[in-house]
This record gives sequence, C-alpha cells and structure tokens, in this order.
Amino acid sequence: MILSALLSILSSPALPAPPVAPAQEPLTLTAERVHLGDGRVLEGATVTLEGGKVVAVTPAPDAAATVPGAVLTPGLVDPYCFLGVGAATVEESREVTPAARVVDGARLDDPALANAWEWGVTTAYLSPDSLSVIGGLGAVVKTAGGEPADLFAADGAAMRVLEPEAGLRVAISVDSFFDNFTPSGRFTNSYHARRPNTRMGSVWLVREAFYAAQAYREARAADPEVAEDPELEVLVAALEGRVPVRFLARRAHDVQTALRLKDEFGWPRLVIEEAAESYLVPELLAETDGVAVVCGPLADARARVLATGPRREAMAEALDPPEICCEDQEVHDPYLAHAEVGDLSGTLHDPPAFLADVLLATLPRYGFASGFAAGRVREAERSTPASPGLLAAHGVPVFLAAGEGYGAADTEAGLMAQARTAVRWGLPLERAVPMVTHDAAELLGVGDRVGLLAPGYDADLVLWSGDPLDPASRPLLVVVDGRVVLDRRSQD
Amino acid sequence: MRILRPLALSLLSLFAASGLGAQEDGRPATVALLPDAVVGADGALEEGVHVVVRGDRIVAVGEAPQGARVVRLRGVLSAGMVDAFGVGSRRVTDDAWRTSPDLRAADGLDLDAERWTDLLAQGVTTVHRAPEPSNVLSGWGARVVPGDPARVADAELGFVASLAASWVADARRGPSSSAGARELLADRLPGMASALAGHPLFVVVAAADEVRAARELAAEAGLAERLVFVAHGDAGSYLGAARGSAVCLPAPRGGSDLARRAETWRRLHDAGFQPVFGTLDGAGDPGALRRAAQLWARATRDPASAWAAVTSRAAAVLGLEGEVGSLTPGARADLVLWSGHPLDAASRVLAVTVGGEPAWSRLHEPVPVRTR
Repeated sequence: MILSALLSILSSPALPAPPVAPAQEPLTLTAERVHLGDGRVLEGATVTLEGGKVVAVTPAPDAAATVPGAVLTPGLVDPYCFLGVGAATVEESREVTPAARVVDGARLDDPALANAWEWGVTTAYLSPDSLSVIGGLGAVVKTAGGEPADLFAADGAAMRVLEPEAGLRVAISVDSFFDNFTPSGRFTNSYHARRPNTRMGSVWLVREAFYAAQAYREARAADPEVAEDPELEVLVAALEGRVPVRFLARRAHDVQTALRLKDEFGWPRLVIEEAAESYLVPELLAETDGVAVVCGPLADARARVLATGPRREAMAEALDPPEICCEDQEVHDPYLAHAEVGDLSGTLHDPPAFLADVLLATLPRYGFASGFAAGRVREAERSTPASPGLLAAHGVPVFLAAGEGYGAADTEAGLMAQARTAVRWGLPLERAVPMVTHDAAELLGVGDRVGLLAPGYDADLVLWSGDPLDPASRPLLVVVDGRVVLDRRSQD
Repeated sequence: MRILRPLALSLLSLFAASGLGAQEDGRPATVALLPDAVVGADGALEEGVHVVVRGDRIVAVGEAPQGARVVRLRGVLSAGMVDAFGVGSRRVTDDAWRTSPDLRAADGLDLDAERWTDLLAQGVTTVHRAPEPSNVLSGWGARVVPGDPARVADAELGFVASLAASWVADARRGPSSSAGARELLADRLPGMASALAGHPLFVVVAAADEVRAARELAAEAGLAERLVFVAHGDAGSYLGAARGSAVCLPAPRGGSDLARRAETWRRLHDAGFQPVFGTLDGAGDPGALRRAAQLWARATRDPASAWAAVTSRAAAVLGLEGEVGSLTPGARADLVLWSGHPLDAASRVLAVTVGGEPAWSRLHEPVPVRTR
C-alpha cells in the first residue's frame, strides 16, 4: 500500500485525560466521621451509593473505615463562580440582555473543571460575566457527567446542566461601565461608546428595564393578545420571584442600592454577589427579608500578616484613638461598630485577642479579595475575611464562593479553604460545612437533590483525608452522581 | 514500480484536435479513456476500467462500448477534487454591515486570477468559493469552475453564516461576542428560511456553545438537514458537540500544529465524523486541499474516507452529487490524470479536463509516471 509508509509518520501523542471513570457501580464508603451536610455529624457511618443516588446512610461506629482517619461530606456546592465562563457569554453592544443564558456561551468542558473537583466542588452556580448591566441568566450545573465537546476529554468530563435559568445577573458595579465613554468625542463608532458611564446610569438602566417589565406584565394581564417578549418575560419572572435577582454589589453603597431596588420593585429573592463591603451594613441586610449574601473568594494572607506583624501595636492604637471632642456627637464609624458585634467568642481560645484581629482584618485598604482586574480590586479593597463571620453573627444568610478562582492558580479560592478562612475570622465552626453544602444548595433551589447525605439524594460526596477544615486535609475521593471523578486514595 | 517516462502519446492523444470535444457527424464523439488505473469510489485503484466520455459528460464507466475510440492513458485517472469551502487571499466580504445576507462572493471574485489555473494544476475542478465569514450573515458562496472560462457556475450555491467570535466580533459595529452573534442569527435566520431552503447552510464555529446555538437555530428555521459546520480554530477542543452533523474541516496550510491536528482528526474519525475539507486556513495555497486529504488518510488510516472527503462527499454537501466528484455515468467529465494515487504525496497532476475540454496539462515537461 502506498500509504503504509506514510501512516507511521504520525504517532499519537499521549495527552492526559481527566480521570473520569465511566462506571456507576454500587459504591460503599465507611468513614469515622460523616458530615450529613445540614450540620448533623455521625461518628462512624457507612454510605451506600447506587444508580447515581445515595441509597443508605447507616451508623456503623465500629466498622473498619475505607480510609483510616478520613471524613465524608456531601459534594460541595459553589453558589457563585465563573467556571467555563468567558467574556463571550456577555454581549456588550447592548447593556441590557436579560434573556441571554450563560449555558449558551459557557465552555461546559472547561479544563478548569479539574480545579473544581480538586477542591471537592460537585455543584456550582455559573454566573454570566458582569460586563453588562443586566447580563442574563445564570445556571446551576453539576461539575461532571456531561458530554464533553472536547475530543481530548474523557466521557463525562463536562458540566451537566441542572437548571439553565437559575438567576438573573444584574451588575451596577464598575464592571458594567468600565471603559465606556460618551458617544461625543473619540471613536463614536465603537460599542464602548455606550451607556452607562456611571453608577447612576447603571441603576437607571436597571429601573428602566423593570418599569418596562411591570408595564408589560400589566398589559399582558389586561390583554392576552399582547405579544410575548422573551426578554421581558425573564424580568417578570424576577419580579415574581421565580428567578432570583443576583446583584453584583461590592461597595456598601451598592449593597444599599440593591436593597432600595428590592424595595421599589418588590423582588422576592435577592442575592448580593461578591459583597466585599457588606459587613459595613449588616443591620440593613439583617432586617430585609429574602436577601442572601455571597462573599467572593476570601484571602486572609495580608490580614494575617498585619495582625501578627510588628505594626500590630501601632494599628491597635490607631483603632482606639484618644477622644478629641464632642462626646455628644454621634459618630458613625463602621469599624468601631464591629466592636459591638455580639457573639464572636468561642471560635478562638482568646476572645479579646480574636476581636482585635477581626478589627485589624476589617481595616480599610488592607484586605484583598474578589476581583482581579484593576477596577474590581479598587472596589474590593475594603473587603475582609471577617465578613462571613460578622454577617452570620447578625443573622444574615451568608455564603462563600470561588468567584473567578477556578481559572486562577489560587488555592485560597478552594471552597473548603475559604470556609477555613471564614472560621479563622469568626464564622462559627459548626456553620462551615453546611454553608458550603446543604445551605448553598437551598440557596440555588436544588436543596431537594444535592447538598445532603441522605437516601434519595444525588450521590455526590467527598472523602477528605482528615477533618475538612484542617489545612492539611485534601479530597481523596470525589464522586459526582455516583461517578468517581477524583481518586487519590492510592497516593496516600 | 516507478519509471521515468516522457509524456508521449497518451496526453497528446487526449488533447489532440480529435480529442474529447471533437464531433462526429455533428454529434459529440464518444471516447473511451483507458488509464493505467482509476480511483474508485472507495479510494482504491482499479485497473482495466474505461471511462467513456461523450461531450461534457461521462456516459459509462467499465467496458468500452462498441465502436468507441479507445484512448490509452499513462497514469491514474480520477474525478476532479471539490473544495467545499474555499476562502481566497482576496477579501470577499463587506463588514460595514453587521449582517450582509445579500452579498454574493461571485460579485467580488477576481475571475482572471492565476490562482484558478493553480487550482487546476493541483487537481481541483470545483470550488465553493465562500465569502469571508466575518459577518454573522456573510452572504452567498459561489460555485466556481476553475477550468471554465466563465468560472462562476452558480452565484448562489450555499449560504455562509458565522458565529465564531474571532471572525465576527467587531468593536466598531458589534457584536462583541458569540452571544451577540447568536442573537443576530436568531433574529435573521427565520426570515431567510425560504430563501435558504435547498441550499447548504455553512456556519463557521470555533466553540462548543456556537455549535449548539447553530444547531438549535437551524432546526428552528427548518434548515437542519443542510447544515454544515465549518470548524475554525482548534476543532479538537469543541467539535465533539457537532456529533452527527456534517462538518467541514479547514485544510491546514502547514505549520507546527500538524501533530495535534492529526490526533484531533483521528479522534474525530473515531467519533464517527466523515468530514469534507475547505481551504479556509489554506487560503491562497492551491495544494492545501489534497494535503488535507493526505493528512486525514494518514491520521485515520482510512484512505477511502479521505478521498471521498475531497470528491464525492464534498459534492454531496454542496448539492452536486452525481454532477461532480465521482466517476459515474451522468457526471460532468471533470477528470484529472495523476502520475500515481492522488493521496500519495509524490504524485503529480499530469492533465485536467473540465467538462470534457482540456483545461490544463503538464505537456511540456517530462514527468515521472507510475504504472501498475
């Protein structure tokens, strides 16, 4: 054959494929400690998985553990991330695109999925990017089990969409007007010559859109002949609470704006995303019904240095300035206000020292959290790893999320690592696991199928090498829908 | 066995004054060509096969009819190759519009360019010359016959749309993203459904979400049957989403990623893809199409699939099945005489007829001729 000599020229380069096992055989795991997800912990139990579901959770205090010392939790649920999401999911030539769906633009077999498995994340909310004021619909996905479009990926190494329309993305932060300029002047034929250019402009576009939705709803109710408008239908769904409004607000005044808009339009469900400065307005958040806060990736590195470094004494002094005047004048100092925050004791052995650490951690300009672009960092510069603890102490429903973390080589963004950070900075220990499993699943509206180790729930779980909040622990085994996506048992 | 032999009687007789186009008693003459071998539908060489030509058509394949003049050809005879999606080096687009559904590539071509002759010299006798896919709705592609003085055989052969953000994103006029491109296509495609019916709809894609969107929108407009994905960029990373659809792969211009591309193609073949090729990436390189077929053959070890990709399957995708791309009775006599198997990189084109007329030959130089 003429071709035979040519055929051997090209060999098959061995490319690494994600380790997704195709089989869904019954799987039984026994661990010395099992977190069920809703706060209950069993000391010694056996979990049986079959057909992609949990079929039994049986207390077995004396049974031999699958891996000695290992701890089982449900698969983690990330309530806000950009896994597989790029700028191509947002159309910038218009500012308001409510009907755009992130699942129609996301890369469902993104290689960053491996980062999610690495950290035990089995369910996630994908948000559209924030470049438009109303950027469209976010989705709830499983991080494995879909059919990859990448021919080099293993079967199942793609996200599987559970709910394609799970939240409406609204962004009034700098993201939605960054780089825009007025049509007068330069480059008038660019789509960056668009509205808005300010926060006020962003908010007006939100209000204008919802006014139109209200009018549309009334018109449809009065006259069924009024033609259906897919974009306004989405906004009506948000007005009626069938879809939550997911509002990107990093600054405290943006959070207040979100609450004001919720009041104006009666959004039944509002989720504040990233929320870097939400700790400045905890009372406002606490007294509003139907609002939840998702804190972006926390990083405690810089705060920790400050709290333990040589400047600690000087900074503590700065926090407690000598009285200068005006005892009767009410001074609103948000940082001092935190000194009055109640029950933060008990998380560390030395409550007064802990409180001082929290104060240091909330100092302006030294925190560093979500957002990596320059404008976003500016908005998040007053973030603090103490936010979740402070908000939780006020009774605000608060959650943790990786945000943009999966694309970056940033281990702080690991969901359980964030829970660890949050606990270190004041979140009650017993809240940590439920916050990243059962409670997050409830927030996403999939609490009836994920986030809990109970019969009938999806077989999503993580076997940790030790206590999941121990910094030395890592996932040994990650299972999604009964399918093993990560197995490091043999390495330990 | 390879022997060096000057071209002698065979080609001269093929293109002599009494050649294929000659007439007997006012009717076209019937000529039975008997090459050393023909390339069959399965890509394999078959010996002793007469290709009987009358006028511009093949009238029979197999035995020579009684009384027909038999012309012995030294070389391998095949149907001319079909470029399913050619984008030339000359810009054929107008992106002053966000969409340009009424533009026709035929109106922007340089019909006298040397390039058409270069294509013939590489054995390409039919080109779907597409408008550059830089608009979401880019316009109509033309059927160009390089060996025909009129060149354009059909100004509205297929329609070209594009969702690939790298092509269509434009900071001046929008859209900025594949999301916006999808929106534009969703807006315009339903209104064009009747105009596009019966024509292939080529959609350029570069990501899985674009594949899904194109499939969904084409289905809604009733155009799914003739949908062809034109794979731009790294097909291996997303084309799995196109399983079950017709795909057109860009013929590589060469370069350093051939190993990755070959591995991608092998995986496509394993996943059941039977593609066609277009000189999208090989713009301006007339040999790119045949090299694509050679690479497919090497990567997949399926020469039958490779040969069909640049002949009969490409013709079928373009709606020209039985007209070009195969040695079957009724087809146009677009024939290429090769020095060996066309998938052998060492083979060269010796002569080409288009519609039974001599269109190109290597008459004046001695060439290595392979006989079997």
